Amino acid sequence: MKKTGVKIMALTLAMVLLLTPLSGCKKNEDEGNGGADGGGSGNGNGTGASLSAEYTYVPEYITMPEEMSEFDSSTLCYYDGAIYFTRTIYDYGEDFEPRPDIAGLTEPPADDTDTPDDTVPDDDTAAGGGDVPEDDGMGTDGDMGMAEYDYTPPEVKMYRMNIDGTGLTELTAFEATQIDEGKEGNSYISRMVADADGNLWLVENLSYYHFTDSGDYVEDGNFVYFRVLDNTGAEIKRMDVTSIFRVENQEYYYGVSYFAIDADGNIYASGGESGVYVLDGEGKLLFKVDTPENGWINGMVKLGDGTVGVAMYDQGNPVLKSIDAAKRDWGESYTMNTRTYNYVDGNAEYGLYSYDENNLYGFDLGAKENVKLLNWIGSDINSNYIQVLAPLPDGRIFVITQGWNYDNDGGPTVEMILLTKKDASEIEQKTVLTMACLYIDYTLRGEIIAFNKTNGKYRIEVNDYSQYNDYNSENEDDWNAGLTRLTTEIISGNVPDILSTSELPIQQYAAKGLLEDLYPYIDSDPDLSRDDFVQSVLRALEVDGKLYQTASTFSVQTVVGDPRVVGYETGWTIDELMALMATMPAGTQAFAQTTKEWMLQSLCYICLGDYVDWQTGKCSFDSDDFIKLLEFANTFPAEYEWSEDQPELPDLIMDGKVLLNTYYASDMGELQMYKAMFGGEIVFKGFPSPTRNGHVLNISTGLAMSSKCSDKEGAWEFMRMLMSREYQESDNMWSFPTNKYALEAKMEKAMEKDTYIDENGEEVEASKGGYGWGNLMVDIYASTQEEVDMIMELINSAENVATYDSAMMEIILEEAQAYFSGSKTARDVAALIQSRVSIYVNEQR
Amino acid sequence: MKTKKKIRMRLPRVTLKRRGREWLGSASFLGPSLAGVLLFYIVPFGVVVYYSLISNPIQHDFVWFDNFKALLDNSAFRLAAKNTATFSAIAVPLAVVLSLLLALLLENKIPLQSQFRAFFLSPMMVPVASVVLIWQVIFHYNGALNDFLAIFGAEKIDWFKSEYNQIVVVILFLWKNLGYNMILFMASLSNVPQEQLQVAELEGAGAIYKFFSIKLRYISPTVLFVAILSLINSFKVFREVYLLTGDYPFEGLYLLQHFMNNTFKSLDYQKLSSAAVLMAVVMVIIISLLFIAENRFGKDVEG
Repeated sequence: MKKTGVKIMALTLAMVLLLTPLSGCKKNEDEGNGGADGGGSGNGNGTGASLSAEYTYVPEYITMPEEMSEFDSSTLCYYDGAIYFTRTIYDYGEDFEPRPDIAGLTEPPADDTDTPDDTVPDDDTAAGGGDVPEDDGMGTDGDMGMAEYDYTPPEVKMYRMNIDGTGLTELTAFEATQIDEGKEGNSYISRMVADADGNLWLVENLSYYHFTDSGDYVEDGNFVYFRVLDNTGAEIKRMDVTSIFRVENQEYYYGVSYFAIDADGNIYASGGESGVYVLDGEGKLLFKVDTPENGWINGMVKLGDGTVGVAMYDQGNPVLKSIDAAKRDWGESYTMNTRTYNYVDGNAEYGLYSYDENNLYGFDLGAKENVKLLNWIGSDINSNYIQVLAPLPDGRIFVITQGWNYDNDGGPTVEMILLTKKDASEIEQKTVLTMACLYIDYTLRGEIIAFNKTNGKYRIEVNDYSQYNDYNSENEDDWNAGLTRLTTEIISGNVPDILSTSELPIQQYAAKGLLEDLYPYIDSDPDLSRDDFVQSVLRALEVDGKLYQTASTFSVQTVVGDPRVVGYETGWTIDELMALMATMPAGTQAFAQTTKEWMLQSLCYICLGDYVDWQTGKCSFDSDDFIKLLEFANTFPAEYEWSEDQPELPDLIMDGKVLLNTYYASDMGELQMYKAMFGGEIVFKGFPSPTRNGHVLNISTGLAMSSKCSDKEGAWEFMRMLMSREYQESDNMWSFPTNKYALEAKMEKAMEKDTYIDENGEEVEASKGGYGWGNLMVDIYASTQEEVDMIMELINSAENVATYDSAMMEIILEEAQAYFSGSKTARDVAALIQSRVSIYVNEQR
Repeated sequence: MKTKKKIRMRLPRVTLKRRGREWLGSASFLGPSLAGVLLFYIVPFGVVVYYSLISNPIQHDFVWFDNFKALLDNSAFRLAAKNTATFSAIAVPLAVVLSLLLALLLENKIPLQSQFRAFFLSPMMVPVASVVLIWQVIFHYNGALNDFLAIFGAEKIDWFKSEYNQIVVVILFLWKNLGYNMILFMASLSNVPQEQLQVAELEGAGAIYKFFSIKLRYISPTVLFVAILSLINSFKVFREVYLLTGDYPFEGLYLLQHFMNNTFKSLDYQKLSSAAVLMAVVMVIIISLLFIAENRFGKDVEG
């Protein structure tokens, strides 16, 4: 008996030993949460094996009344089968003509037939805020001239509508707070929520201001009110809480950005900065909870348990803290998903909901974990457009999206959608093509959804591997965890059908035989041929005569200067640039607001290929040319100190203190601005390079097909759509299209003059927009043939593709520091770079 | 007849049952180890060999020795192999000879014997991170050694990024390994039969003769063991080199493990597995040669 016991124990121990190593092979619960774990549409967040979802959320599009084409998304709230929202209606008057600088920022009136066409700029020009360089401060001075119309405060109306799109009713009992007679100002409702009784609580802000004779904007006071309305819009009570939200010295005023009502009727409000104010139902301040040091608030929701939770970044980490009204302090703290930044009130099922660009999650307060509910692309919803989201008590999810339709009148396209959970067996089955990406741009996301909606045979499912990147980690490897995971999956045989090439090591993948050569597909396509594309782009995309990726748009990066100073000839070497600088007056800079490191990085980014021959593995970083490049970078300051008094870049260029600037040619608009900046003439000089070709192509929305693609015909059907002339001629293209004919059409459109009839009845060319940058004010008009030729020549002469090799750049910058700090000579540093980079290059071949 | 038959029938049954039970008992004890070795050594090595013979992990086309040919054509691999071989060729003999000399020195009755022993063993207790820190403080371009040499007017030397870099690492290697090797030799030397040494001494043999003709023959298995251990440790010096200089050091310090580590990171499994197979073959050859040498040297004393 004793012996048997020993034997059993020995056998058990042996089994334990045997099985212990295998216990580490447990499947990661995060993988493939497409339905097996009770959540998700199974359309995105995991490996290919997980893509067979058990259920998905199917969209049902609600027909909406026309009034819903514009609404204030910040005020829309749901209560008992209906939505409540406000509309802000602007009256621009009959003679309205927006100033060029605000034309792109001002939403045109919905049905203002009197507005001349030319007041709304074509989006292929650079007018408006969207194309303004980041640091320009354009249009902020208020010195662009006074408004050319009498300002009438907008009218705010409130509506109620059933979620099935019926019963739209204006709540006529509602009255927005009016600006005092004889004063200038505006009022707006920043938030509206419904309480448990169906009353509407709203935050209304009033701002008074005036302009001085010199056009300066002066604030005359800000006021904030909390108002409670019944479900007809009639006011029940009003609370003036201005004194609570105004900073003591009144110099700064924080508006109420976050607002919630708990189950007991207490009010929680915050401007996002210092903390959360908690008031009773009558507007009396009960207490305030301060945000942690270095923390900031980015969301406030009513949790499923009736308390209020505040989403914030605490020491850089996303957390949700509930507020304990009894203790008058922070309550429970929950760790949030690092990628989610939109929070929605909870209900009985989940404590709160959150979503990112890929997925919708429910948060289980008890288990303290996020549960993936659906993937946006899987449910045909463009997450970039989501304005309102409300989980309904019956399990459906109500969503309103608002996109912009550039092809028509440039107005918003609003869709009201009800998402219903359905079993996978109930859904029409299509051939699924998986797309792997580390970044999915705005345009591509929209096109995938459009393809999925319209194509009867294929459906694309996106696996965004960037969700595995952990940028909060101290370990740099975690920042690229998504790429490592994708590559590991590929190597282990789990190969996606299509790859979005942005941020992917395409050359490495091609070398491993992962990618399909796309030339045969173009050659056999009835509607496409190689000649249909911009040849310089095709050449730049080629690897050993094969085309492993396609691109729908591109831009060209170069250096622009005044030809009378830098010469009319395009292209130069670093020697020539340094020789020119030697002739310039003391204090003249080649580039503005630049540091040694930034300059070196930029030059390497552009012309790294000139110093590396990947075919032979030979590097020439110890060449005189690279040594001069180091010396040139060393002429810039070690650190850039920004100050408010510093002149803007155009002023420095116009004063001759700066000779050159980097120019990103992605449309025709900026060309005229740079011509004005450089005194009427410009030359695309390019970055200094040993080959004298310093223009670089930047490719966007690149796609590749894997050689193991499960349905190559289907994959090509999607890819060719993005390459087609029809698609690329649409106004969704933010850069130059790669289709030659679409590019020509874009150029022709840029040359089309916008006109209007002046008071004398004569047709006059109208501005397509304008730029204000420092003291530079430029009106943009139709491009000339000469300008188009100039850009086309730039496009056709660009030979290099911008490459950022992080390992190589790390070595170069690390070694260059010793030279920049004066410890070593440029030649010594160049020799070290040569040694280390040569090893890297030869290892990678 | 019947009885005989019965006996004949029963005997093998008993033996088989007992053998089966014995086999099961042995298997249950050996099973975990065998499974572990199979799962974590044999099968992965088989996979590595397979990967070294195919075109890429996507197509899986057999290319036989093309990967090895490409590897040998790769200048980064050749540089890594050369550096590793050079380092081992310098460091391993030095580690064996110097530790043996120290052991011989401490075998004699010298003052502060135990303190010396502790002194040489102490590097084993220092964590790698601290070793790296110490070496950086001493050998950095703006480090202590250059400051010291500057007193004599010497130019600064970038010890890690110049032709001196292998010397720096050899010093580090010896500093870390001499103590342990020395202890092994001291243990081995204490086992040399004193009678033979006394007889030799009576017959007028000198110290050198006694060492080469008696001691060395008796300690030859230890010499072999220390040589193999040092060879393995010479490969493991990559850890310190990596922490000192990163993924891509100056060319003298680029070792085979750099090559493998980097190709693993870039998931270039073909290069990685070919290099691993090649390295395994070379290691087998080197260790076989060492065994042959040891057999020839120590044959007479081991019988």
